[in-house]
Amino acid sequence: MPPCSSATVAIRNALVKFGAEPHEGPMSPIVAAASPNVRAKLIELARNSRFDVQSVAEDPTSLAQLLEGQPSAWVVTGGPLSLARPFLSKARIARVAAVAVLSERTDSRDRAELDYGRLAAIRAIPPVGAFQAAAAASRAGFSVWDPDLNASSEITSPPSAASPLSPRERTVLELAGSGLSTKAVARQLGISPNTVKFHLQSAFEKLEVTSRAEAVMAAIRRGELSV
Amino acid sequence: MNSLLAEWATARRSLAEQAALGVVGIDRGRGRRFSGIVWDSDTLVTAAEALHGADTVTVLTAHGAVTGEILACDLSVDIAVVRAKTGAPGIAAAKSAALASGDDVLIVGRVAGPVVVWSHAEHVGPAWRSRSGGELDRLIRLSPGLNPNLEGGGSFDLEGRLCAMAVRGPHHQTLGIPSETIERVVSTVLQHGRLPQPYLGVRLQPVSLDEALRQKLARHRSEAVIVVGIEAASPAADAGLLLGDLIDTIAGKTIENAIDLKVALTRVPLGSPVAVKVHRAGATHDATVLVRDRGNP
Repeated sequence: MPPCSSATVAIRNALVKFGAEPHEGPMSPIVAAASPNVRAKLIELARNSRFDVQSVAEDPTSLAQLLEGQPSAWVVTGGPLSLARPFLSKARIARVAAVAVLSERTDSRDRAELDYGRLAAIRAIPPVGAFQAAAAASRAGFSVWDPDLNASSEITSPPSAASPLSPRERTVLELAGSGLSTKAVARQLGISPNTVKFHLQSAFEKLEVTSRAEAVMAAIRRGELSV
Repeated sequence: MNSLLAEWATARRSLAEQAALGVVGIDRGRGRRFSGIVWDSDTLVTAAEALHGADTVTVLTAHGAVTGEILACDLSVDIAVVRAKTGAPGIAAAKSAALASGDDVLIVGRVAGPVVVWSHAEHVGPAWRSRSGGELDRLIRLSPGLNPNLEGGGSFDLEGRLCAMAVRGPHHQTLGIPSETIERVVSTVLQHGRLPQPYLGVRLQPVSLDEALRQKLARHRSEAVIVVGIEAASPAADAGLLLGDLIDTIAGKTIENAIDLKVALTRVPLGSPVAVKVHRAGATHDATVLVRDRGNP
């Protein structure tokens, strides 16, 4: 049997615990992130795990206000660590449970800086059940650090695992990359030109590129577009 | 003024005036203006990336504005072909092969009036492949820091012939897209009305071959790609390619990465059988694919 890190064990324990006591404190988390893209993904992730999101914080100050006098509140934040950090420090000050869905690897320094005993950090695109497990663990006072987030891990996943393109982003990029105009892509998919631009911009961010040609190449290299 | 200098200045001015006849300004709206080259009286070329997905543009000539319709964009070589009735005579294209490192060139574009910059070819090298998998007939690097209004403008030699289109490259470089490459793209577009998109229908991931497999496949390098996705009803599906196949060669060309495959596909005849060698479960399999045009199944 392969050696098991303590974080993995914590997630498994939390799964067990979740099954036993699912209704401790309010079920609806506060989703906190500055980027609308990240917020939308976190809300989707929470909904898929049957958590109803009622409050949203777009900046750390409003998160701090939402948390005032709410010791049983819990926070879901995410994105790259640099963007999640200010929200996590507000959760830490309020000592509420927090789940961080991080899109990049972290090292032990990050962990030492952020962890306060009620933080569950998992990777973006978590496996089925991991979000629920992380939520239950942090709310039960466990600290969980997904081993997949470990920067020094010897197992390296391909970069596409960090933030794969959505099916829509792939389709839009494929058509735009073939030289079609924004309007022509919009017509073909029955969506508005602005929606096309939104999907393209989102794909550019994920692929860390600035032009259509670069985006197509990056997506092909990552195995997200076909040749 | 010294008569030699005066002659020199007059010659330079007439060269600039002559070159300016062969270029137009292009406005894609919201104040974003760049330039284009008059290929013939109905056809312009400009920088594909500068269009940002526009499908019509306003073309500014010496005699007024007309509408330009984008016929095709080849992002891999940064060339867009535009239909616009400018009525202007087409430019005379020189072979960019005649250009050498250090040669003087004029970069000419248009905003309200002509924009002219005297520059030179810093480096002229052999044919190369862009990072986007485009094949360019010459590497032409012009003086860095292109005025954005000149993007898509013409780069002319001292005979007033077009040798390249000026575009912005990575790291503030200015690249010249050779006239031969432009010629090739324009004639394909005018012949077919669009640019064919040859495709196989596979998604690929890079893998590193171990030494034993590298030697078995007789490869120089350990980089290779395996199939991680096959589109339904695609040429790859029809040819019976399977998930996990390592693509060894197509039409005899060794494939080390996804871009190699993309480039190899542009060189095979569409719709004719092409031999593909894949490595599957420890053995080499031969398959035959009919590469199709993605837009015209």
